[in-house]
This record gives sequence, C-alpha cells and structure tokens, in this order.
Amino acid sequence: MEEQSAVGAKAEKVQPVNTVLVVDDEENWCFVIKRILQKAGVGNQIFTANNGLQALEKLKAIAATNEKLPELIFIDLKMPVMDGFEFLEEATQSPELDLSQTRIFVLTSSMLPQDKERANEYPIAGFISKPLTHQILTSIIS
Amino acid sequence: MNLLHSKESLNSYFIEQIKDYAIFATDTKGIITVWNKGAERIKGYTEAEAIGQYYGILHPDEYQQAGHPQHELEAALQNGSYEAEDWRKRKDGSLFWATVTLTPIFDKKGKHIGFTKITGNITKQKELQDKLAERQQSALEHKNSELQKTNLDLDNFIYTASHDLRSPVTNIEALMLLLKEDLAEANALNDGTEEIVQRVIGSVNRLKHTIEDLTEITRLHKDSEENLSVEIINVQEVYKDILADLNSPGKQKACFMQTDFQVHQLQFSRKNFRSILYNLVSNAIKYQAPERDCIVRIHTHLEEPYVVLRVKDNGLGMTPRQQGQLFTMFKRFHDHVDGTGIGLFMVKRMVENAGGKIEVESEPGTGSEFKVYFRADM
Repeated sequence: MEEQSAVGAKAEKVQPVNTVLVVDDEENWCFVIKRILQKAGVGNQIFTANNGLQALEKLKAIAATNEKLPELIFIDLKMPVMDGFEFLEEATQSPELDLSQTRIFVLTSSMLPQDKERANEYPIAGFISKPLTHQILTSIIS
Repeated sequence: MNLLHSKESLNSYFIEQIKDYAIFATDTKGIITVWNKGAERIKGYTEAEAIGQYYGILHPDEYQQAGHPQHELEAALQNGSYEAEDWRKRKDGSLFWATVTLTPIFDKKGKHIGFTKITGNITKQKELQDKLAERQQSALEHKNSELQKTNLDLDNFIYTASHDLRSPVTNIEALMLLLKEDLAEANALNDGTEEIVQRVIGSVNRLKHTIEDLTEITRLHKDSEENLSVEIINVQEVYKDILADLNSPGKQKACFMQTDFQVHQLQFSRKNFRSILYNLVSNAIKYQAPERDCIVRIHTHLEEPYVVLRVKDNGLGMTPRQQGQLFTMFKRFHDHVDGTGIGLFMVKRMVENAGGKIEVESEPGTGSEFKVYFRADM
C-alpha cells in the first residue's frame, strides 16, 4: 500500500505513454507486465529486456536513431549480468541517454528496506512491490 | 625397643621423610618450630634456615604486606582449619601454585600450642587445568563463531529463499488475475471456473503470507542483534491503532473489548509492541467460542520490575498439551481461522529479546489469559 501511494504522489505531470521498456530476467514477469500494459492500453510499443545490460543497449540503440526514449521503464532489481542498481547507475550517468522524459519504476519482489533506500538514491519515479496489478498501473498512469 | 618408642620414632621419621609435601609446625605466633624434608625440597629453605623464622616468609611479598599470613592463622584458629589453593614463594623468590592446609594444634588440656601446615606443590596440575580451561575456552569460542556463522547463513538462506519464492508466487497471482479477466472477457467465467480461480488465488495468498512470515523472522533476528530503537509509547494510542486494523469484516461476531490501562506508558520498540498487542488481541478474537458472546479484557499494571500486559478472553481455551506447544513456530490448533501459526512464536521472541517474559493460563471451554512482562527498568 505504501508503495502505491508513493507512486501516486509522484505521478503528477503525466506524459502520454508511447513506448514502454520492461526489464525482468523472468520471462513470466515480462509477459504479465506486458499483458497488464496492453489491457490498460498503455504504450503503443512495449520492449522487453532480460537484464540491465540488454536494457541499456536497447536504450542506446533507440537514442542513436534519434527516436524518443520510452516514457516508462519498469525494471527488476535482482537480475543476472547487470542488475537493476547497476542499470540505474549506468543509465542515469550516461551522456548518450536523456532520460528527462522517462519515468523509471523499480518493480521488484524484494522486501528489503535497504533495497528501497538504495533505489531511491537514483531519480526513480517509484518503487513497486510485485505483483504489478491493473490498479497499481492505473494509479501510476492517471 | 618398646612399642611406644618405635611408634614415636616412626611418626617423626614418617613426617620428616615425606618429600612431596612440605610439612611444618609453628608456635602460636607462626614461628616455625618443625621442618621436614619435603618442606626443604619444596620451599628451598634448610631446616636450620627455617626454624625460628616467621612462616610468612613463605608467602609472596604482596601477601606479606597485606597481612595474609596473620589472617590465615586467625582463620585457622577460628574455623578449625584454613585450606586454600594459592601462590606461595620459594627461598629463591620463585612462586609456585600450592594447596595449603593450616591446622591449629592443642595440648591434652585443650590449650592452643601452635599450628601445623601441609603444603603441596600443584603447579603442574594448575598448568594442566589452565591449559584445559584455555582449550575449552578456545573450543567454545570456535563453536560460538561457527554458530554465529550458521545463524547468518540461515538468515541469508531464509532471506534468499523467501525472495526467490516470492517472485514466482506473486507471478502466479498476477497470471491468475489475468486469466480471470480473460475468462470474464470471453464470457467463460462461470461459478465453477471462478471458484477454481479464487481457490488458486487463496492458496497463493497463504503461501505469500508464509513467505512474508519467514522474512519477518529474519528481520526479528537482525533487530535483536542491532538493538531496536526503544521509545516511550502510549499504550492507549497503540491499542486504538490496532483496533482499526482488527475491524476487518470477518465471518466472526464482534467482540466486547474492555480496557483498563493502569500503566499508560511503556518503554519499548513501538513496532514490536504493536505487533505483540495485535497478535494477542487478534488471537483472542479469532479463537472465540461460538456459543457465547466474546469478551476480551486488556489490562496493564505495574509488577516491579515489570510492566505487565494482560490479554484475557472467554474463548475456546487450550489444553495443557496445546499450551506446551503454543510458542513454537508454525503451530496452529484450529484450522477454522486464517494464519500461519507464527504470531506467538514471534511475540515470545520479541518479548524475550528485550529481557521480558510471557506466560499463559488457559482452560478449554473457559478461555485464555496471556501475560506479557516488559522490563520496566530499561
């Protein structure tokens, strides 16, 4: 509940969502999040990546073509190759990526307060405990 | 040689020639009058050197300065003997660990005429004992650090397991919700399929709670090590706060709640106190007897050095066997109510970690009374 209201508070200026990037090493989570987004009609285009590095490469590839970066990113924390924290570190530091129009939500199974604190050191739009539901998504988007 | 003569000389030879124990006698003031071979061997003084000396020369210098020799004479006279294991000094100044027995001697008329002293050198035994104690200590320390490591491993394991379990479980939950929506959209959601979906979601929720409880246990463990922030808490305030949570619409009847807070404030972790009160009160409500109105009484009072919280109900009650298993992990006595059976285990742990205790009195068919003792002097 705490996460939901925190998320709601940050979702004031809402940009129309065209592109979404879902980053999760579990294929089933990518599927669920994608389906919830589609059902809610959020995003014309939904990309998925299975770890932080794939996500970073995807974003850089989009930026290289001068296309708009996704307005929404959902990223898990615990992932192989490059985890969510490393992704946040790299992505927010990268000169190639202008994330000013992108809202990043951490979407995790972690219940550790330390993880939330650490994630909040980055410019994220919210920290959501899995599962993402239609209601939570709506409260973010509305 | 007559018998008496041979007995006397035997006695004197016998004492004189004992080598492993220093045996000597003093007069009433502690001046040495008799000195055997063993004394010479152990202490280093010859008979000629020792006789006529104050026996205090055999004590370490600081003992002499502190008046120990005189105190020992007095103690022996007063108590019939003085026995000790202590340091003694040789002629060359070196020390040895000795077992000493100082005994007053009296003549036939009962007049005090002096003391005998038997001293054994048990330095070797002491060294062995010390070595043994040291070995035991280091074995204990080793065991202790191993235990701490095991505990940490266990905590890490539980945390990882609960995280890794939670992810697929919540995923199933999300998938079931999607399935339900899809079925509804396809008009395929009838009473039968909806019930199945609900039951799967119910099972998933129970599993999620169990996982959350596991995580809670590790949190509790860490808290006890890192010392929770203790603050002054208002009992009434916390009570009101949990009442709001307890008022969830349930299948059970509402209960009459009676409170009597003789102690209004308490120094404890707010989070843990809330959890303790919540567990006890919600149990009292959960385990109510269906045939009578549920009454829950919540009291606090001072019982030096404790503040006592009493939660008494007129519910189902427990048998002595059940009471014995009450505070173990994952123990539930009734299956008609929700829960994972971890509440009281955690309550006990929170209370005991903070130096308190918890007691229960219960009778089947009459009700239960829980008493939590919080240390008032913390």
